[in-house]
Amino acid sequence: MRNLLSIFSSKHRDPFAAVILFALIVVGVETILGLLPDPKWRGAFVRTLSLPPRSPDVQVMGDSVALEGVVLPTLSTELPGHPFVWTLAKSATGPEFTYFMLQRELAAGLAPKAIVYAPAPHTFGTDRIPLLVGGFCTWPEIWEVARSGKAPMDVLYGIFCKLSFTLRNREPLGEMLRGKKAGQTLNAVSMKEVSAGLRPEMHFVAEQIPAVFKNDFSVKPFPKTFFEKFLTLAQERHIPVYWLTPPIVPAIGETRQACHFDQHLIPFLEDIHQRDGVQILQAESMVYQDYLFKDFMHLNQEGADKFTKFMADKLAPALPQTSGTIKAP
Amino acid sequence: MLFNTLQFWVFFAVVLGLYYVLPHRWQNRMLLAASYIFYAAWDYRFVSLILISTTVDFYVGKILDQTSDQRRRKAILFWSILFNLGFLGFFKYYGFFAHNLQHLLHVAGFQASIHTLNIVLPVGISFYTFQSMSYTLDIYRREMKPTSSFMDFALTVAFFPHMVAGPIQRAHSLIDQVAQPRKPTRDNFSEGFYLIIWGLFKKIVVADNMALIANPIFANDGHFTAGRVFGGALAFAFQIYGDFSGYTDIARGTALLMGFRLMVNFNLPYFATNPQDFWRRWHISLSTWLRDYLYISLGGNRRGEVRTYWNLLITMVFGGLWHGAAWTFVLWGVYHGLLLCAHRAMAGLIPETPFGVSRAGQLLWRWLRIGFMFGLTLYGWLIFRCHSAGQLWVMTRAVFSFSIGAGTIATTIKILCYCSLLLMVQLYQFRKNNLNALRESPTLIQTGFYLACFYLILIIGAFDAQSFIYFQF
Repeated sequence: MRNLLSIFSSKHRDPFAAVILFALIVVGVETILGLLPDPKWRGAFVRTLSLPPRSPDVQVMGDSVALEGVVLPTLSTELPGHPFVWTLAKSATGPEFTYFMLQRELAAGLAPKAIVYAPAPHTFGTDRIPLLVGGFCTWPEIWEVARSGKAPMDVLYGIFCKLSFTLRNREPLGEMLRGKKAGQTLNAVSMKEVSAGLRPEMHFVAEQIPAVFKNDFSVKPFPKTFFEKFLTLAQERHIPVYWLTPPIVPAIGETRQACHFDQHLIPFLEDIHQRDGVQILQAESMVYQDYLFKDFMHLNQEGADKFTKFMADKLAPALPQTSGTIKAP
Repeated sequence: MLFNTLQFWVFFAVVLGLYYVLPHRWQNRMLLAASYIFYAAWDYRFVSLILISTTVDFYVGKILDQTSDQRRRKAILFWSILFNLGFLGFFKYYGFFAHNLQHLLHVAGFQASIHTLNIVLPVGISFYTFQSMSYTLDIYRREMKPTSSFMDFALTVAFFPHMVAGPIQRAHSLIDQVAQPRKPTRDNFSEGFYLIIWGLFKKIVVADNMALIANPIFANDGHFTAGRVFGGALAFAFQIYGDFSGYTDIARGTALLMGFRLMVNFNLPYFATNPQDFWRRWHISLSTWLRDYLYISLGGNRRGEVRTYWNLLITMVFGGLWHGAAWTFVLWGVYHGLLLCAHRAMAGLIPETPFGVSRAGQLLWRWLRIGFMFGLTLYGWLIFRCHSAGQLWVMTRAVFSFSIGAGTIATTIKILCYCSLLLMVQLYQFRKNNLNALRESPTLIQTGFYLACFYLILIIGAFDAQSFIYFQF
């Protein structure tokens, strides 16, 4: 015991003991913090899932574009029989999340009768593996991701994120250390988005288009693998999937034309359309005026209402017989 | 495969695991294979370049040792150097010289079209070429005997911790370590760990965050204020130091975990009091290489005062050009050459203790010299970092406008905040005049240091795995 306590003496100068002590403290601190629930200021890293109380008649899936672009009560009202509509769309997610969400929903015996999938197409050209593994997946799901053999280093990093509170929360912690209020950077974007959008005479400036929207349409192997799995899962359970291409602002439309975005997106959609149970309802780009958007990608309330009504018109003849009441999450 | 990626650490964990279970000879074989895999991760085609260079220098070394005729030895050495520098020159400088020659001919009124090739620069070619050349040069000077094992020599050249960005190890020191069995010790482990975590901190926290400040400043060709130029140069000074010394620390640390001791490459360079002192502290392996093999070969300071200045200038221009094929690097070499010449010329004129012999007077004089030298170094980094002579001219003019400009103080504070741990540790090392001072401090202070480094890396480290600046050299 005296030997052990001697480490606290200023005369104790053992570099090896310092390394061991450091390792023990890190493991201890991370284990204790790992047992705590992630704090509210955790930022965007952790994705949680709100499963519906019962099987939805129509379920919206996708990323923030789908989450903010579809007004559930409007959709339910506009569809014949006022079906029970639910959304499992999540901000900053991709097809890989959609697959695991559907898998969990099916495991809980809450199979939706129809899925409306309305993702921003760029989600197919970006990987979110550390976020998926570290902030969303359960251990069996991580094993499934690892078995896919795609991007093993990202999977490993995701596992470290899952195990380490600090890694998982490094963005808000970094903000705090830099003297900003936690979530300030993330909220700066969302605060802007909360505003009602532009006045009719105002326009989004093409020079300010974020880089991600200037790229050609591409499909990365990881999202592709899990999108295939998502479609297969839906097909096995005879759940029809309706793909809706979300509307865009004119500036994005011009940028996409310049980089031949649609020339590559359309064959991809046509390929999906060949599959049983999948229907593409809006394959070509639909351009809305700037004042219907909050930012380059997300519709405002007025825009979302317009898009939802358009969606209901397209869906109504295609949907299977549905009934029920509206339930927003 | 960068040291600041998970991919490298997985690779290293596998190598280390195998290393500890294998006997000595197999350790070397495995390390050689691992080194080639490490290099092939960038571009497998260029592994052949290393192999060719290694084979040629191995046999040249043998022949040089067996030859007693001095004229023949000189001729063999000449061809060996020509071969090595020819490779380096072709891959690194062909485009630069072809472009400039064409421009020169055009100015002279000739319409010449010199074929320029889009040559990919093999990573670390300057490092392993110099490393390999030191072997033949040392054998020529009869300072070492050639090794009989090709495998040992190949590992010396290709040893993955130092292959792509140094330190440019002297052949004899590494060959001896390769040849002898190495035993893992507690001390090697703790020192290796210290160097790795400190190196990662310098790279991920200091250098990569400084890059976020410096890059936008140097990307701008338009309006500069003196304050903005100062901010850019200061950020770049810490970026390049954090980047390169961080790499060296990680290289030395990983080597130590396997029982190899690589040379110290940086010794608190921003605490230098004069240009000569700076080059004894900055990129020591290159400056000593240039001193031993170029400056001394040119005659050093043995052929009169004028020739000494000339030799200094030539050595530094060559050192500048070693960094890359651009006029800004040549200019940077000339600048440091002139600083060395000026320091040499004024050495006798500067009083040793202008503020008296008291401790306070000496301390004040020392810090004044450190501050002045740091200012000169900052201007050197401005030359180094500018993408053209035109930008350098604009930025230099801005310095003399003496306008502070909005945001200068905030940028400086930001830089100092990111570098605060680095500065504190280095002040402590400087005060103790010991690079190992921290490892000799109480255990709890060392533990606190590791925790601070580790959590700062995790929380404010730039995780987008930016490449190391010196890889391009």
